[in-house]
Amino acid sequence: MRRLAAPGAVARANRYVRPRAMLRYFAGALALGILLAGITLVAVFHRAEPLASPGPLAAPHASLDKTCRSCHSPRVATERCEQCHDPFATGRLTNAAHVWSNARDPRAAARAARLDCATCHTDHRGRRFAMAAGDDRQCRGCHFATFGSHPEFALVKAGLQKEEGLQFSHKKHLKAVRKARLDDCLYCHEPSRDRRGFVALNFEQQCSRCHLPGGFIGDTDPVAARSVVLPQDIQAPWAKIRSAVSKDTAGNAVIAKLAHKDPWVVYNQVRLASQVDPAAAAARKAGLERRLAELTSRLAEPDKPTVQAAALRPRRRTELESAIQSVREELARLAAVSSAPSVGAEGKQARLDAISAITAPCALCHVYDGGWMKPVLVPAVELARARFSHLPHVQQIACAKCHSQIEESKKAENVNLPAVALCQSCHRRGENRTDCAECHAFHPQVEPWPPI
Amino acid sequence: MTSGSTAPADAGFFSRAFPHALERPEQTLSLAELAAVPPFAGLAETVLKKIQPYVLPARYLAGETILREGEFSDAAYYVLDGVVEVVLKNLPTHQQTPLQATRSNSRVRSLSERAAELGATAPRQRAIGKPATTSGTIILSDILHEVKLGERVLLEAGEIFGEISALSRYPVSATVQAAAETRCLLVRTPALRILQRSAPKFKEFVDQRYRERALATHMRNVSLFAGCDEQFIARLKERVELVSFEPGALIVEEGSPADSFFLVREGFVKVSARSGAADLALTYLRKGDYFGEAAILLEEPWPFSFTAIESVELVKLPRAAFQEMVAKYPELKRELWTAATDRLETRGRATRHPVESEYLQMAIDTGLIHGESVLMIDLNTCTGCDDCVRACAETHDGVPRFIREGFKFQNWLVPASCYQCTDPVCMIGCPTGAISRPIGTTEVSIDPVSCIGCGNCGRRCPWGNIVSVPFSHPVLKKDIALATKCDLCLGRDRPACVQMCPHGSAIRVSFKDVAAVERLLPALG
Amino acid sequence: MKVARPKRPAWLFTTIAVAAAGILFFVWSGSRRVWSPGDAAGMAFGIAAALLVFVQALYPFRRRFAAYPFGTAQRWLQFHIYGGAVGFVFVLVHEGFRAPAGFLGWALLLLSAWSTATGLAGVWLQKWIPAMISSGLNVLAVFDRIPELVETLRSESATLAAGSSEMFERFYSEEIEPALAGVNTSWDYLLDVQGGRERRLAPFNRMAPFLAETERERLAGLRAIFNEKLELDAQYSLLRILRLWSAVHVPPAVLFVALILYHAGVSLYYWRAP
Repeated sequence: MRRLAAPGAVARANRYVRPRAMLRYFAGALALGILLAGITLVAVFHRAEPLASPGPLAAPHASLDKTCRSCHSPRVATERCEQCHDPFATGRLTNAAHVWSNARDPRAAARAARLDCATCHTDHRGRRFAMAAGDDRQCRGCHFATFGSHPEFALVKAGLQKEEGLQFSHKKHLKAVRKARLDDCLYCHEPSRDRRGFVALNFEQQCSRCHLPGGFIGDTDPVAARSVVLPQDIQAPWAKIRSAVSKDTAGNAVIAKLAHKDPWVVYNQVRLASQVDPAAAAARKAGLERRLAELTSRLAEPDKPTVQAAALRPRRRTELESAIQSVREELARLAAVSSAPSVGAEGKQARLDAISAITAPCALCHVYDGGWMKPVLVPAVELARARFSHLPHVQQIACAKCHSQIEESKKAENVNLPAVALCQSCHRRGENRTDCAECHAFHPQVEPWPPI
Repeated sequence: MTSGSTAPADAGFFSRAFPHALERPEQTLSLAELAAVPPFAGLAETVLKKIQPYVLPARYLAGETILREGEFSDAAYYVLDGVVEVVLKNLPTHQQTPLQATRSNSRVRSLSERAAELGATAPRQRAIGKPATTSGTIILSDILHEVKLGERVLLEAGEIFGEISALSRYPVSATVQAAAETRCLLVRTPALRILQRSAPKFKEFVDQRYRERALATHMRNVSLFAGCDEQFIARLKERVELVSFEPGALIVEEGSPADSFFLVREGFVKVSARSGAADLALTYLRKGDYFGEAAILLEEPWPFSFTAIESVELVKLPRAAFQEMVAKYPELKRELWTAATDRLETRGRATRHPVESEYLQMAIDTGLIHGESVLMIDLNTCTGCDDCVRACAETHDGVPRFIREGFKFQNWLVPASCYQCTDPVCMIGCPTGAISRPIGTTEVSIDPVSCIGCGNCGRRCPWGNIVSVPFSHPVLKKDIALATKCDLCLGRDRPACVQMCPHGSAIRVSFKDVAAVERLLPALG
Repeated sequence: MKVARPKRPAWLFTTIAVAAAGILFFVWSGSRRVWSPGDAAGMAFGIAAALLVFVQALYPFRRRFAAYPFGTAQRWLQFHIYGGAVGFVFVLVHEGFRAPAGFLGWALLLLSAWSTATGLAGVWLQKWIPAMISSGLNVLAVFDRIPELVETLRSESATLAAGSSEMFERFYSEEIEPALAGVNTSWDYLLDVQGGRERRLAPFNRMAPFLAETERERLAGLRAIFNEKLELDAQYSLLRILRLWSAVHVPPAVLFVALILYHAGVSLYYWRAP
């Protein structure tokens, strides 16, 4: 089969050949590539900015897609973001605000590093990219690394809440509720409308279910009739509904069928307490007047010209007006007794005795100090820096699972919150969410933000 | 093979200027004239007829250079009348210190670069190659070794010079000039070889001169004798026999009684062993190698066959002399034993892996054994991108010095590119000395400026690896076909073909190192 | 057939080590902070990838830059291959192994992947085709000269067929001459270098019994020429695939380099220091 003399060789070139075909193919490919690149780059420069973009902007920014200079000049600056996101330059979105809202320490806030918005919020990642979502890895720079190393809640660490001005035993109440075969916790704690939490308790809605048998909270203890102003001696309209009270042989009287916040009891208590310590009464009055002035001025000040403020206007107005109303009433009561003469030490004791006698049914729950009732402070927010929703939790586990000490709680001040370890027992890697954003927000939600 | 087709540009001019450059039957002497010359006296007429075309008369004026040191000659010169002087300008190689020049700072300039220098009176600077030590080619002195550096020796009528260089193709070791008007007889290599074989007297005469002038140097260059003292070598010199073999002749047959030790003076000797019916090539020996030590040491018959690949000249040392030497220098024994066991090991390996033997046989058959730097391309990895050829062209003014065609053995392509032979026959008969191999280097290069395009070298190359390529000559102002060949990219770190092969397929193989070749080629394939 | 394994495992191991180090750094860094191509680490990978790609792009000029920094074309090619692979890994690390959002991002990622993939396909072709040719074909020719050689074979065969019997003439002119007219390329040779040889030589076997003894020798000569032509066809086809391959690899690679330059310019212009 092999035809040629030299093995494998076809022929010997009679002179040297410089091979060109490889070059021709390569040069062709190179030329094609350069042409392609040229066309692309011309197209790119023709529509320069959008093609330079590493990706479409997130949906809220979609209108800025073709105007790079709305954000870039040429670099992205925080000021550009704030033009829309913080138009009144409150600084709410700064790192300083973040530090302040949590630490409440102006010095720490002043020390806080300046962070650009783009440090955490990167755009150009597609229309549906959630720019607002934070990433735990960004929190780690300053805070602990994982939820597993979350510190104990401050409240739990403290052990007791501050005084609430009420005497209340969950233990006793639970016993009574169960005895009546009523729905344990939910008998009193009604879920709020958004189901995230519970409506604040008040006497009229909750306590009155048991503590207003026959429509009254009870009767006063027998009180020296001369120490108090009896209903028949009071000209105010609210006194007219009460029938005349008679004295017994010892000159004591019992006023029966007291209502909650009974006007007669309050009138006499204020009058007696003012007589015991006129200075305190004056101070109280002055305080109330200051508060009234403040509330009135807030009602008068114009709303912020934002949609949000406009939406909230009616509710805000109502809240302010009802607060002004209650302050006025209290001032009126004080004014009514302001002419009371001061008394000696003996008289003081008699008056204090009288106060405790007339407030006997009130003192079952309320606390009196020096004749004055301590204000009832209903804790508005249990978790100062976090958000918590009861709904998903109560749907899955019993209340007592977390609030385990409630059965034994005898004081209103008891903290019946679970320790963070209990949260961590369910919120672990691979099970329930453990990211910071589940409970915390980086930017403080409060508006207006107090400028630092 | 059309490489040598270019005819000499001007034959008449050459014949006048370069007396021994061309075959010139019309100037030969008559048989009677020949017979009258003393060395040829008494020769048979048949022998005289055979040598007649190769013996030429020549005249030199006083001061004319006959042989130039470092050049190659294919003729011995017999002085008919007149006086010549021998001048040694450089030391013989074995006394030289290695040249300090490196490849990168010396290069052969291209035709265009050299054009400007044409006509300058400064003597042509020889490109200086790699130091002699790395080449290892043994270069013998063919002039009386008593000549001292810079000293002049006069040779008168009846003397003969240049015969060793002509027979062994070593560079001429000294410059010979005519001291007065001189008539010489050029006895060209074919004639010398014929005389060696058929004229015992002439052979004796030449051998005697070889013994006197070169043998000692030759022996000293063989590592085996390096430690022997002067007197011993002188004594040994008297006992050796100088023998020649024709191509293909069996020197020693495996199994015959071992009676001598051989030293290769010239040519290649194939070493083979019988394995069943096959004759496996084990290795080949070249000038400077020796053989016979195993048989003598073991006191056994020859374990190998030795065959002459070409015309082979050997120095034969009788068994008794060899044993005397071993007895006197017992430290030689170790080296001899090592050599002997190496060769026996090779035998064992070749029997087990006949493929290595195949490669050797191929190298012997194709003449690759002459190559000191043969370009070989591994076809298993060569993509045919021709980057090697392009790189070659870029190094050589746009004209490549080879194309990727040649002969194929197993997976190896051996392109038709210069092998850089140990004995470059192409150099013989270059009328201008354009083709040269600087002493002690590997590359044989052609100076484009001195080349006149006669095509002698191309015709002499047995493998057609020298090609004439038309150039537009800057001085002659016309197209002239100049000889071109691979010069190993003189002036570059390494040959461009090897450097620019992206796949590592192109390699350079020196067939001087037989062991390396045996390992390299089958292993890579 | 033996396709050479990596002859220089050091290159392979270095590549794997560098790529693995890059990815490990990404994983380690990504666990501590949000990876961004624009922050210091992301930029470092981007710049490294771009530099690697630019050095790769110098490969066609290797004969000019041979001495520096690699010395031999083989080392250039090794770097071109392995450096390109590392470059691709660095591109992935640079963009954080995410799906890009925009046109430019997708273009850069796809071009990078394409250049790397076609490059690796080229490596395979460059190992496979020479092995195929060396093991399956006897005739060896320079690509540029094959059409010329086929023409020589055609004229040789015409000389051979001239002056033969009528039947031979007809056989030659109808079955053989058209096939000798020029180089016939086929992709089939990529899988079987001897492909169809028997089928194509079958007419000669069919023809032999009908010819006189003297003609048979002529037929054998023609058959040898034809066989050689088939070998040249196979060789031309295979070598042409190697050359056509550059059209697949080079244009997208050039475009890639151009877009990298553009991307680098835009990124540096809009760059926000971390």
